[in-house]
Amino acid sequence: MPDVGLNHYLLLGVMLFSLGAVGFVVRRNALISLMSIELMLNAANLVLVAFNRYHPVDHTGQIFALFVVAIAAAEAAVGLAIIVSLYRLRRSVGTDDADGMKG
Amino acid sequence: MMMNSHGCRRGALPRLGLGLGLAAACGLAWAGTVWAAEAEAPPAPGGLGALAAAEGVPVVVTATASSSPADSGASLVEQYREGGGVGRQSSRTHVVLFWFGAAAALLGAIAVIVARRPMRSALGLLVVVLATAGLYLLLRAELLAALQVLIYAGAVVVLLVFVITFLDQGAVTAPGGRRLPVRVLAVAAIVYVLYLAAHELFAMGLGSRIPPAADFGSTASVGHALFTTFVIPFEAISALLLTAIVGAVAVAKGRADGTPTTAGGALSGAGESKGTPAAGHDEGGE
Repeated sequence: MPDVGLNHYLLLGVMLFSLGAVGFVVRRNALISLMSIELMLNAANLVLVAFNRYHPVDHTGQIFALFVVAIAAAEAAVGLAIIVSLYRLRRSVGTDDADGMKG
Repeated sequence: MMMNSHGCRRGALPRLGLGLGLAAACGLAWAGTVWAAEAEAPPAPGGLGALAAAEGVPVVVTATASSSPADSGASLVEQYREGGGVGRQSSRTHVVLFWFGAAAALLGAIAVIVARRPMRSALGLLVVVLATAGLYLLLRAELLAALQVLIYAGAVVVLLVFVITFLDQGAVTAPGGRRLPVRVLAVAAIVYVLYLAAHELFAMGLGSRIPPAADFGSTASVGHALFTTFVIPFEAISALLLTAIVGAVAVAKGRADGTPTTAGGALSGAGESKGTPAAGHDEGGE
């Protein structure tokens, strides 16, 4: 059985990030856009932790990932609040309905 | 649309609970498998064993720390060479668990972006989060794995599910995907990026040959780094979280008369019709 190394984790991170990016671009539902962002943050975390595991001189990568988790939680809270607010105004969570700043 | 959503909603709650429970159970079972595999790896010099010891009996920790580093380090190097760089786990277990976790994460991610109902996307996100937590365990990031389950699965996904159930199902499900050319372009872009990544990544030999220290990734050592080297970012993140809490409450609560705040209104276009007279009413919704 071929061995699993840093390359495999990085490729998995790239795939998860690309899926998140595609989801963010393709979907028009604000909730799913938010989940796609979470997906991308998760992929970045995975890459950070994998790099740290295969270059284990200190714990910088893991702690960076810890901060990213905290920021993701904050972002989810504020993002969901904005979505709820948008829903109250427009009775919809479509990102195309949030066109008030279009000039 | 509304008829459809109401028709689906009748039996949806039990099925949803079943799905959530099933996903959580699978993820936790997998994380448990990783945990067990880590624990029974023969030398187990650091990691979970040390974590358990550190929390249970501090005296034993100091004893092992003073006596064992030399030989455990030697066996680590030995195994690192044998396993071609996978560390102290037996290589086969690591490989099997990695592929299982990677497959689960990818399937979950696909479910997130293709599901029509946001609730299924949330389920997919839960699968991704739990699979990633297991991968963190494989990468010897135990504290991060625990926090991933606590914060992501326990707080973020629950918040998402709460908001999805709180909003009207018809409105939540309604926005479909983009038009076909956009989708095709997006998929072509992802395939190209993946091709490049795979091509480049497997062409170069990445990663240092340094075996990790015995206590690499243990909660004690990560916590030590967190409260010494990274103490200022750590404090800053608490300020950020406080700001986010206040901001979320301020945006979601709205004004006393029930209208959303300008922060929410600016996004969705109501700000120009009520807050700022200079903005005009050229394209107001009402």
